[in-house]
Amino acid sequence: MIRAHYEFTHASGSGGAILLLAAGWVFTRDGKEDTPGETPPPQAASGPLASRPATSSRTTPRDPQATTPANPKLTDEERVAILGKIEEASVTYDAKALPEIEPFLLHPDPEVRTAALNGMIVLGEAGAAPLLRKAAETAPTPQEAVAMTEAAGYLELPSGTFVPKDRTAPGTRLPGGDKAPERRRPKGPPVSEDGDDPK
Amino acid sequence: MTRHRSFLAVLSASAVLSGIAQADPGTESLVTLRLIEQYSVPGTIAKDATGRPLSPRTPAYENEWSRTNSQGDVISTNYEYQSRIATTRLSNREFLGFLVSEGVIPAINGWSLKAIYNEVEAIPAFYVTKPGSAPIYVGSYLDMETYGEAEAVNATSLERFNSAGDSIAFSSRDESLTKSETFLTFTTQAAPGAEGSTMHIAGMWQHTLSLRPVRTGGAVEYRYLNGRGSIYAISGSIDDVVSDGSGGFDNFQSIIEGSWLFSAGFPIDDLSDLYPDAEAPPAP
Repeated sequence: MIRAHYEFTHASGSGGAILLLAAGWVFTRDGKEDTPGETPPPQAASGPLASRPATSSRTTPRDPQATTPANPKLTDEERVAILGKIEEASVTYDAKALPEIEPFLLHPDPEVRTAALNGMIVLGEAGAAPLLRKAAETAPTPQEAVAMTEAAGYLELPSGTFVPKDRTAPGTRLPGGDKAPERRRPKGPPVSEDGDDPK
Repeated sequence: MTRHRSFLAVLSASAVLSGIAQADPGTESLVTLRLIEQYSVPGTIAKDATGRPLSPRTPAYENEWSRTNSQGDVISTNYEYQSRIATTRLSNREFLGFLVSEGVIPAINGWSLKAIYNEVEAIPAFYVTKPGSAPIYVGSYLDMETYGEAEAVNATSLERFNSAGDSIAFSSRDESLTKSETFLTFTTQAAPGAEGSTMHIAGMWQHTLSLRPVRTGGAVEYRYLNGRGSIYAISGSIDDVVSDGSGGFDNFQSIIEGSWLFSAGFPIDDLSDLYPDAEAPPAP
């Protein structure tokens, strides 16, 4: 018999429903349960991922509708649904979808907040900038406030292009290499013999 | 590059226990491009020999002119060279716009950029996906390679037996965080020097991997799933080679900064269904 805890659903790309049993796990056979000895996780290099709450086998799930420690009120199933909603709105690439993502910028769940921020970048509309700056004012952490402000600045940049013929359209930039004008370096003004600037 | 798999045996054992035949499972992760491109543009406009702007106004880097008095004597000579740095963003919609221009997708609406991982190789395959449409492999435009890396791993396992020697319980964990020096190339050039664009960027790819139980239908199997990650501290350049209209080529250069972000992955049952280019290579 296999017993597992912590489940959430996700409709995979292959169309099959998958229950991902997140966090730590313990399974038993013949009805006998074993609890492993605990080993602390490695202290990975510092960084955004290192500081992310790790799912751990320390957790002893009690509730089949269990949730992550980060947000005790949001089930994994609900989180997946929200992430899907954010992705769906972001890939419209339409400013009209910004209000659909905005509420999630300050969602209690950090993974949802990250997805909302990334969703704004994916959507790629300058109209997101004021929404991000407003959210930054009440962001849960200073790091997130900075990230939101930086994303706002990013989205206010003009949109570039990966299309070669558009990248070098006439009037936009001049060729480099041998065809680039060679800059002349002006000399400084003449100075008098005693070193003073001539008036 | 092959992933370090401390618990491949566990994976196999658990699959047997769960009664599930291993297909070719993998992980699907959303990719957010956040690049900034900068390049020089002319900072002034073309002027005539007396310093008056030419019409129509034409961008220019430099001008040289002189002024004379009523007798025709030169009273001043002037030279100017002016340029500025133009900054644009290159994100998902710009990349998808490129795919539209290439005829890969009809429009950007609804399309997402995804990184698809198999359970053997670290480097993902890149696809664009849209609900209701077959995923399209775009790895022919993007090449990713890694070199040096540093890794933090926590892998443990415990199996207990009864007095008869039967296994009565088993538990394990395997979590890792890896930082890899990464090089990415995006190119539309058929060969070096040919017409097109090539972007070379380098950055630090930070990614996580963990062994997790996944329930498919009514059974459970254990899979290595990719967590959230990013390629940060990106720097690089884009070289554009464009026909000059007279049998030669014009060359343009720009610089790139920024990051790529990868969402935590979702499990995929069988890559062969939708992501055949992401499948693990056959075992030797």
